[in-house]
Amino acid sequence: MKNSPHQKAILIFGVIIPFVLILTLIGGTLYGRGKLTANHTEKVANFERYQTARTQANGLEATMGTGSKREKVEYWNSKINQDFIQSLTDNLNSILSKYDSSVLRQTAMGQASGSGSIGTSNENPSSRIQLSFEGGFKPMQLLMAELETEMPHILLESLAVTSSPARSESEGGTLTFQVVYLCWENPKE
Amino acid sequence: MELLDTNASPIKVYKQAKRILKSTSRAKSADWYARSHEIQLQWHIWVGSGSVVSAIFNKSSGEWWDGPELPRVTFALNDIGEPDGLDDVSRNSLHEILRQLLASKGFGFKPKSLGITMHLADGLRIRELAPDFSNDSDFDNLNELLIAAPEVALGDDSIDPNEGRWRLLPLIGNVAADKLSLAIQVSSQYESIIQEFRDYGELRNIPIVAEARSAALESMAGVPTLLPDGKSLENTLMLIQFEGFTLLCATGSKGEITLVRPLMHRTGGLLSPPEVSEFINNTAALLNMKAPDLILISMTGVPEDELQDLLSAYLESHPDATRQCINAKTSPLVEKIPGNRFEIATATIDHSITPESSSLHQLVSKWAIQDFYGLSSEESQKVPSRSDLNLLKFAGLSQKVALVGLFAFVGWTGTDFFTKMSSESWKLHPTAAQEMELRLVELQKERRNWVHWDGLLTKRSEGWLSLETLLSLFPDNGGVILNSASYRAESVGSGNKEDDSVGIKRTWQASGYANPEVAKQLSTLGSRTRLAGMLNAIAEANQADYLTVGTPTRDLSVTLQQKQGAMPPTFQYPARVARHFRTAFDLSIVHSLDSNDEFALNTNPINSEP
Repeated sequence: MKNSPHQKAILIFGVIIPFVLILTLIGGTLYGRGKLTANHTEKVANFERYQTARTQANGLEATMGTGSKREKVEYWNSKINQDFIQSLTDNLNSILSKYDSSVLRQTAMGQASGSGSIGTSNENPSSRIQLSFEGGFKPMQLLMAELETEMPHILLESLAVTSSPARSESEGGTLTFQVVYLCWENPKE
Repeated sequence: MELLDTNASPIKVYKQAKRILKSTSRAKSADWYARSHEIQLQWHIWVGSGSVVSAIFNKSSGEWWDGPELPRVTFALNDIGEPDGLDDVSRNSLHEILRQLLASKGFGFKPKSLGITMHLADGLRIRELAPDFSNDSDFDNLNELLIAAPEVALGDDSIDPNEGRWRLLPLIGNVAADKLSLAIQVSSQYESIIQEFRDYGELRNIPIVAEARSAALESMAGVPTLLPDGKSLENTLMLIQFEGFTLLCATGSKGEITLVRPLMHRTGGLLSPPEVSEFINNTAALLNMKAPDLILISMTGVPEDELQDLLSAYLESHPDATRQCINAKTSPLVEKIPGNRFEIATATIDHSITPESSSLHQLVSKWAIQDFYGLSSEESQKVPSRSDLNLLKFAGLSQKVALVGLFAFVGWTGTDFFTKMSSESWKLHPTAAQEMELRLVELQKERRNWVHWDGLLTKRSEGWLSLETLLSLFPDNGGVILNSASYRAESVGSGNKEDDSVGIKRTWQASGYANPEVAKQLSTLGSRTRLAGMLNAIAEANQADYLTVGTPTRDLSVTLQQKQGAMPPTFQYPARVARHFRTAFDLSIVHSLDSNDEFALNTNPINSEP
């Protein structure tokens, strides 16, 4: 059937054009909404990542903020990062300078023979040092206390105390101390 | 109403349709598009050569009233002295009649529309179509041509279109003839009145449908309703008498219309009997009809016996001719109609009684009720149809609904936009999460560092405390002389390689001599319980928890051997002293903690810490 001029005009300007415009607007809005939703989803995921990380970070911050942990780690690092032999020598010299050699003296220092069980059982790098002293019991105990305070990263592996008999009646007997220390070292990054 | 051409630009046509929809009731009222005889309140005006009849008809109730008298009208003249529409007085008179009719409550209801039918019985002109069109069977297109360009359809350039209005009359059923249709003309002198009626309706937005029909055609088509039941119209000659002319109509052997012809009354009265006889004889001879049936009908009220007299001349030569004379004014169909006009009855009665196969039935359903003052099809198309306006109305409504939906959708989306854009997640800087995760990684690394070194550097084996332990076991009161003492710390694995920690075993060994007083107490060092108590006391006094005993993860074993034996004299301990130390002893203490203990040693590298 042939359309009348009015029907044709009404279909064009009353139906097709308005609905194409409306559908275009709806389509544009849908497109914009899709983009926004995708953006929002990404931002929500980003926000959730942020929240999760922040919660964990706050927990860790609280953990690390108590008990002076950071200061301790910093102190330990300052000790561990020093050269072990140099540090040990300096500390021993400093401590022994307080004693007369007749009271306490260092007789030997060298790398300990063999391998200690503690060092080998751990993957953290370590080294062992053997020290020998002669002197009194108490001075030796004080030396060890001071040394272990100054060097918190050393661990006593073995200690052997033997008495050396006096060579004359006028001499007193002395004690010989064989000490093996294990020193923890900083792992290579 | 000024209307655009059908070939106008679609946007203008659309605007025009919107204006019509907004300013008229055409979409609401179907009466705008109805025929005049389909409207509930009808005004029928019959116009003869010397008289006028006016009647009002209520289609619903079938009631009739005398109609208002049509006023005498005069025309306004244009600059060159030609008639140019009705003058103001005539126009106002017609408007007043319409106003009164539409305001009247005397017709059983309040009229909302009016159908006006003018039945023109003042004359009729019939012509044959041009030879090119006379046997054209496309009657609708031929009728359009006759309306728009009668000089073309009739093949006569001398025709003045303002003389009258032409319409087609198909000779229904006469398929084999040379002429399939005829052209009929009525006077156009009443067109201004009909147009004024239409203008009034459009001006006041009231559906007033005004039409002008040929009373002769209406009468011819209505003849079957006047005949007795069963009377056929085959091989018949009909003479339908009006005031100024008689319509001669002939049908063939199958009832088909073979001839229609107006016979003018030259004397001013009726046809004389010789004239009637001559017309019948000539027509029968022309159509080769032998003994045709005769029907003589008077629309003017001539009694049937006088009609018989009109046939007297013919009956002298054809005494056996079958004939029927009918005075239409006495028909029961017209008894309620003012003026008893059969043409008016034809426009209002139900024609379903006429056999559908009848050629005259086809005439009455379309061709006999043509509006001679109506617009051509092309002109009619300038007005939007009701379906066009309803489509426009529906489109407008749909647009509003769609716009509301669009606004709702856009509003909802906008609210959603605003909600999302004002959320905390939207405001967060894009790199904030990454920065916080980097911060977390740093903190985790820091924590791993802490856990690793705190675990590794926890005091587990200290030299000064191992000497302090020996000093606590053997107080310096002169009762014991140690020959040697040793201490050793070792790791103790569980044997399971997957374990990430190892236990620690500490061993003290001491050997020497004791005098008799101390020797009596020395044996108590072999007691595990006493030694555990001693270690716990040392641990508590020195805040060295790793040295305690008593938890399921820790163990303690002690071995003490004593024997009689004099200590060899030395410069430091001469014989007079050494002889008092006659008990030799060997003491071995093993203190261990397993891999489940809190002081167990973590064996993992720093980067594997959780």
